[in-house]
Parts: sequence; C-alpha cells; structure tokens
Amino acid sequence: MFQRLAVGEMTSLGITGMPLLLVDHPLGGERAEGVSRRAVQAVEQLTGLIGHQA
Amino acid sequence: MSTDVLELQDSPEAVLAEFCKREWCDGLPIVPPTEDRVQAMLGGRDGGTVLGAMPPLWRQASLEKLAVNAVMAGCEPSYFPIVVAAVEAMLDPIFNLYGVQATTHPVAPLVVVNGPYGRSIGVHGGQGCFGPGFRANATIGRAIRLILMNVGGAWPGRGDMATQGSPAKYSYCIAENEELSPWEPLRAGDTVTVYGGEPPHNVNDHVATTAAMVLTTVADTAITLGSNVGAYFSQAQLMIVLGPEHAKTVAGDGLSREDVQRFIYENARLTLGKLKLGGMHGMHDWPAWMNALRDDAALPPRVPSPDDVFVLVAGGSGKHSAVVPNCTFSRAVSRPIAL
Repeated sequence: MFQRLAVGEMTSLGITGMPLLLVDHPLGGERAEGVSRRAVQAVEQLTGLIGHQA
Repeated sequence: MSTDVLELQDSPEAVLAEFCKREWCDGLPIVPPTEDRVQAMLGGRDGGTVLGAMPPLWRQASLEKLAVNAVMAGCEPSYFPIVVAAVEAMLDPIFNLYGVQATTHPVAPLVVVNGPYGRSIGVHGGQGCFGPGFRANATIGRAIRLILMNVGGAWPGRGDMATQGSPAKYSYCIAENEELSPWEPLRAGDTVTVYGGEPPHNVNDHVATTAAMVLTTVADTAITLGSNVGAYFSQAQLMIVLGPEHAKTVAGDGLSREDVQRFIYENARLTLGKLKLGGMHGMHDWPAWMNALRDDAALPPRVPSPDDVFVLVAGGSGKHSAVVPNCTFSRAVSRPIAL
C-alpha cells in the first residue's frame, strides 16, 4: 500500500532507479509469527538486493 | 509567474473539470488562479521566496505556489499572511509534517489564530467557529489543505495514507475568542499556531455548575481507548477548546489556565488494566517508569506534562466545548504573523 508513496517520493526526488524493499502491510495487529514472516521476507529481499548490487 | 500557464475555456465548469482531472483540487469549485489574482495575493512579496521543501514529495514551497493555492481556495489577499505563517510553522521539523501528511491517522493541521489582525480580517472565534459560514476560516483552512496536496503531494491513497480521511482535511481554522476568554490569549500578539489534530470531539455538559464538574467531563472526553494520545507518549498533546460558558464556570471557581492544564493532565487518564484491552497497547513508546507499572489500577499519564495540554476559548452561547486530540507524532508550533 505504501509502495505508491515511496515511488512518488523517489520520483519527486529524481532517484527513480533505487530498489525498494517491500514488507507486507499492516504490522500493527499482527501476531508474533506474522511479524517474523515479514522479517524473513525483508531479510531475503535485502540479501537479494545486496547480492544484485555486488 | 514562474509557474506554467494553463489556458482553459472561460467557464467555472470547465475550470473545475480540468483541475479535478489533473488532481489539483479537493473536489470543490475553485477560483481560477490567474496571473493577476496570484500577483494580488502576493501583495508585492517575491514569489520566488522559498519557505522550505514540503513532504512527502519534497517540492519547494515558494510564496508563488502558496499564493496560487490561496487564490484557488478563495482567500482574500489580506488572508495571505496567515497562510504563510501557518506554512512556516508546519515546516518546522518539530511539527513532523511528513508524519502528519502520510499517516493512516485522520490528522489535519488545525490553524489557531490569535491577535487583532486575525479579528480585523474576519477570522472567527465565536458562535459556530469550526464552521461552516465564515469565509476567512473556510478559505484559510482550505488554502492550507490545497497547499498540502498540491505542493506537498498529499493526495489520498498516495501521499496521504489516511485510512478514512476526515472532514477536517477540507478546512480547519479558527480564531481564539479572546474577547470572551477569562484568561490571557493562548499566544500573545498576532500569532498562528498549527496543531496536528483529530476533528473536534464534542464535550456536552449542561449540568455542571463548578469547575471540577466541567473539567471532569472534559477529561473523560479527552481520553479513550481508541485514541493515539498516550500511546506515542513523548509527543502526545491535547487541545481543550472551552466554550465561553464552560470557561466562565471554570474561571469563576478561580482556576487559571495553568490550573486547567494540570487538572486535565492529572484526570484525563485510563487505568492500566483498561489500556491493556486494545488501542495501541504493546506498540506504545512509554518511558521506562511507565513500562514498569504492574498494578492494573494504576493511572499513567497520557501526555508528558501539563504544558502538553493547550487550553483556549472559542465558540459562542451553549454548554459545549471540544477536545482535539493530537496524532502523537507531531508537536504544536506557533509563528508570528508577518504583516
């Protein structure tokens, strides 16, 4: 949901090529396992992005 | 003008349709911001002067852009100094305009005007001041919203992520009713205060005959389980807008503004046991001493200090007041009106 905000902000700042790390919304109201799933999701993406940059 | 000029058919319908299509307005009819009108709004000011970058899209908030939006909103040029002061205040980092713009919370900047200049141009603090019906209130508040949308980029669902939005996002501007206030003004002189607030919550008390009775009802209205106030503790604030009749009762018992602030600070509370039931419990940012509380009957404060309770008087006849809880990730900022 907030991806549009991030893309809009990057576009406005002229940095459209920057990769995004996406985490499912919402975090509030999630049980611990849901938060853990998002953490794994984020780390996997980050690892991929770092690998891609290297 | 440095802004590109758009040529349209000379009819209100055509102008509204085009501005809506381009997502340049709030859905209501606008005054076309022609070059002459924008120059009149600027009143000799340098349109190229920039007050800062406005989030979330970080566009430059030049006086010309502010003037364009003030014209669109229907402002008289005499209102423009208040619009400028309000934008200056919102761009203070303490106000956290990024958070106010982009949150899912229904926050809108409430503009409170103090001083003789606001009164002279018709900013209304009397009967029905939250609206509708008063051009200065309506159009200054609307100009702020159009600036937040068109300069800041707070379009619903993109830059403004409010889950449900709020009618206060159309326009939210009042004056303090200094004439009927038993206390000194909220701010001295010609001043604008911006406060990141929810829409006003009504306080109905037709039976109170003492300060304690009035303020007990106010305190009860101020804090609910569903309020942000008290969850994000360090920036939690409350604005108490006392109707003149309630203010008279409170002051009649000898209470100063500071006494009211302390009463609300000490009494606008919920038990720890109730707070545990929902709201934002578990994702709050309380200080360590509050996190150490174990007694479910404990009554932790909901704002950091009595100074985080703003008390002003506005409205007219009737036994109603209002509470405006803040979003709790923004702190109120005041700026003088440069004339």
